[in-house]
Amino acid sequence: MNLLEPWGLLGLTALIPVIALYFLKLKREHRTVPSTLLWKKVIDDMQVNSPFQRLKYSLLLILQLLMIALLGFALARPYLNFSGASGSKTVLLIDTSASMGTKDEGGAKTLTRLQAAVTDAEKRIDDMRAQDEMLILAFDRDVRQLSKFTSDRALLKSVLAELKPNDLPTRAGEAIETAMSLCEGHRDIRVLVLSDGCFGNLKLMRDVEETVTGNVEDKGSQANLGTPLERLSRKLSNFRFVSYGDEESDNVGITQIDARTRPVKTVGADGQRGDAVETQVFVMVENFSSEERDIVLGLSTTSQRFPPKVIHLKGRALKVEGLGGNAPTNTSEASRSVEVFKLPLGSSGVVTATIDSPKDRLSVDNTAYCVIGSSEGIKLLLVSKGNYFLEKALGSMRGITVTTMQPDDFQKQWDQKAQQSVEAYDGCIFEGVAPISWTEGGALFMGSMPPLPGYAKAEKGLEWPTVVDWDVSHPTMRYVNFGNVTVAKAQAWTVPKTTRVIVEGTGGPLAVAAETDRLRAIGLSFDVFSSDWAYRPSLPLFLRNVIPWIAEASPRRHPSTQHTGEPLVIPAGLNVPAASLIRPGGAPEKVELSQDHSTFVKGTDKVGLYTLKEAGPEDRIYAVNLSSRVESDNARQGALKVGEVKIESNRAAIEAKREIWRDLALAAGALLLLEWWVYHRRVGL
Amino acid sequence: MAKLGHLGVVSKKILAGKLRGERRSKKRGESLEFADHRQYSQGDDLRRIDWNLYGRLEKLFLKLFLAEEDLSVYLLLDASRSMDFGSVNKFDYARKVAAAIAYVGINNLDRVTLTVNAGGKDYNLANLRGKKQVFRLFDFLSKIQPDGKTELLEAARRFAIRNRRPGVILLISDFLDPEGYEGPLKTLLGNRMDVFAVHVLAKEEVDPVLTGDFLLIDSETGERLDVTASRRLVENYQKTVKGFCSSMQQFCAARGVSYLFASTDLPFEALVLNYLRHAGLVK
Repeated sequence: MNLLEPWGLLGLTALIPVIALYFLKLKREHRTVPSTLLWKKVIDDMQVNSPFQRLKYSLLLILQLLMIALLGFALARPYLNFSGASGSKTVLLIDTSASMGTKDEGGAKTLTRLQAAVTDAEKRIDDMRAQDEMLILAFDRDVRQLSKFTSDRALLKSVLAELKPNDLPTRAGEAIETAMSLCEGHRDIRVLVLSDGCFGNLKLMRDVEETVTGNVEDKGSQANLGTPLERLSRKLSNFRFVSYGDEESDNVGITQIDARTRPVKTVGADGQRGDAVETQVFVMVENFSSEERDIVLGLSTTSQRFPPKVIHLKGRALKVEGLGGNAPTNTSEASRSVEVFKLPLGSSGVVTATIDSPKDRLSVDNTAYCVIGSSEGIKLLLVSKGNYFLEKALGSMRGITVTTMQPDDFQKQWDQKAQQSVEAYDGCIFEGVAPISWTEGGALFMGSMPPLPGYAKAEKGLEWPTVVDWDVSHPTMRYVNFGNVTVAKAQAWTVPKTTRVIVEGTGGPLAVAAETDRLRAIGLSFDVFSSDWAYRPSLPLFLRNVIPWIAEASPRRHPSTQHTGEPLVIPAGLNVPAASLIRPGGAPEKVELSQDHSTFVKGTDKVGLYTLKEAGPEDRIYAVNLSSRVESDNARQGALKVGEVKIESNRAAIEAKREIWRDLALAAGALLLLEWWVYHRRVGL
Repeated sequence: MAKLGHLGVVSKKILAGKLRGERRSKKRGESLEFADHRQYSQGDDLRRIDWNLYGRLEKLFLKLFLAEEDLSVYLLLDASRSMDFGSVNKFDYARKVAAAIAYVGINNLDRVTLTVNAGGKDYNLANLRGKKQVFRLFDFLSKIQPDGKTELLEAARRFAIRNRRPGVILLISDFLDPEGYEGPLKTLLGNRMDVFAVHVLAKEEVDPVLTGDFLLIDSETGERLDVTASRRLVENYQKTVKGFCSSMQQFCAARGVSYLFASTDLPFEALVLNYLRHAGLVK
């Protein structure tokens, strides 16, 4: 234990005169009196009315002296080094997610939350003793170990100085798990989490029940005793949490942006009918503050700026603890709105949505981008030996240009160029055939199984399967009646759980839909000619639904927007070895491109437009947005919640040395109460 | 002694005596003082018939006269160590008072009983009657030395048990008893006594001359008390003494006890010849 203000101990000198008085005795003349009865009465009466009395030995006096001593000692601000023995280790977990870039008001200068956290961390590093060691982990979308366990203060500070808030969502669970792994078997390691807590309740990936460390003998060890909650509490017992920011959010942000296209028929000035694509942009705006706001939302394309919209959003009710989930809780619909902008026909390029007013402390979610794909009609590849009904149905659809190819020709092309062979098309229809694999874009597989992972086909097919049900909620099944379709023969498929069965037959699925970020596929397990579907109006209706749906998955047409942290995917077959990538606000950097497979470019940690130049005749633009309601809801959280365990924020955790003057003051208060009790109990000495 | 010879102990109550004496009694007797008439009945002494009345009424009546009996005079003297104090010693003063009252009683053919309480013991000199007993009384008193604590209540209880005949009792003490003065006085009153409380205090007790720091030692208990005798303290002490006497006086007045305060600076003759007479104890 040491003292921050050793001069405060001078306050203890106040005890000396008190004690001296106590020990001081006067030389008195002895005088015998008949009785001291009346003298005692006089003195008692005078003591009652006198402000002073002679010092006597009493328990009350002792208690008072002890209380003064405690207060005097508290003035010296004594502190304990809470790490206990020298050579302690600390894991510093520091949040660098987007919400940590919030500039909270307060104090002389406004700092971002990350800057405040770094300042505190530096203070903690200053308090380290020579034998103490620290390891720094930064976390946002990923967990990064920035240093090893070291006692090199300069190194630790230089690591901290380079930290900047990224426009990334938070995956705090991984960070906590990493820290727990580091602490495993080392009880002396303390974990200090510096964050604003904007990541909701954390659920750890690995079940605590199963985390049996060591060998079989260890299973009976104390670490594995108790309920899962107790074990988790024990594991988190050395975690300390310090929260930053304001408890009330003032943020308004764009939490989602997307666009949808649909082919439309146009009539030109000369009366000629043509094909075009209409694009609608959807922007979700959300008010995270508790006050009502009028939000001015602007939208612009590369060539045009649309009149801004004023949106009135109600304030959001305060968060209610315990409802769980990573999404902000208790967010009423009235505090958010989805605005739809219909772009003029033929619009393409980058769409930028901006919140012009009000200004808030987190700017990263005030702007969102979306890249609108080609506005031309849908280019479709039909790989078929020839199907009259199919060709007729496709030919009657507006805005679609169909290129027919024989399966053998397609196979030759596929063998040469693989996926690149279909890059020129917005979608493909495979009838009775299928490529070996399908990784990107949209496709309809008729009578052939989609070449996707998890799909399997039984040797024996289905005979006269009956249609049991069909999913009218799927976009491809609108107005489609399958009840009058009779199927004579179908393949028996086993599909993964992620695949949606849109037509269910007896013995297996008759139609399935698979969808990922970059892929949309519809599979029909029966040949059209093995059924009477070709004579039903539901076939052209089905095709009318399917074609735009699969075309949206085309890299050429798909309105492109992605989250920060997700890698940029540059497709293979661009026929250039390298390209130049310009990040938001950055200089061009060279990117090596693979000819065999897609190239993934990491480092999309800033919101904005990423432009790939010199990779083709046109620049490829990638729109990267935060689009995270969890980050936009940037009200500070008072506790770190890991499952059922709650770690309250405590700023004192920053201090390696914990001052104990409060404890001493509390002890003095307790003594005061004891004195009061003694006084009323008349326990005197 | 000559002056005392003219005095006599007076009781406010008419109390029954044991022997014939010089004190008027409720009983009818053979004194010269006429009391009443009553009709003659057979067997009455013919010498007591009022012949003058027979001459006028021609009926026989007897003349009745008041009986004269002696009076029991009790003296309970406190001889605790606290009485042994003062330039004019309190105990000397108190035993002079006791001797004087006893002499007056003996001189009037009263029955005098003297009890001295010292060191927790009672020293009795009972039923003194006749002037020859005076010297025995003086001798007894001169041999008593103050000793022990003031235990008036116990002394009064023992005294009341021993002396059940009503009479006049003088309790002579400084009444500096931690257990209070109320108990002993109540005990004596319960025995149908005509109680006189003679409160003797030394001049130094009433008006102490103290300046400076003292360690006061209780003469009876040895208890020590640090006192810084300031003027204010002495004034407060004097007020306390007055308050003590005043409250005792009120207590006595409320219960029919005659309270007599005697500071040792009051000359003994003045006390007995004037003060006690004025208080009604002697005439």
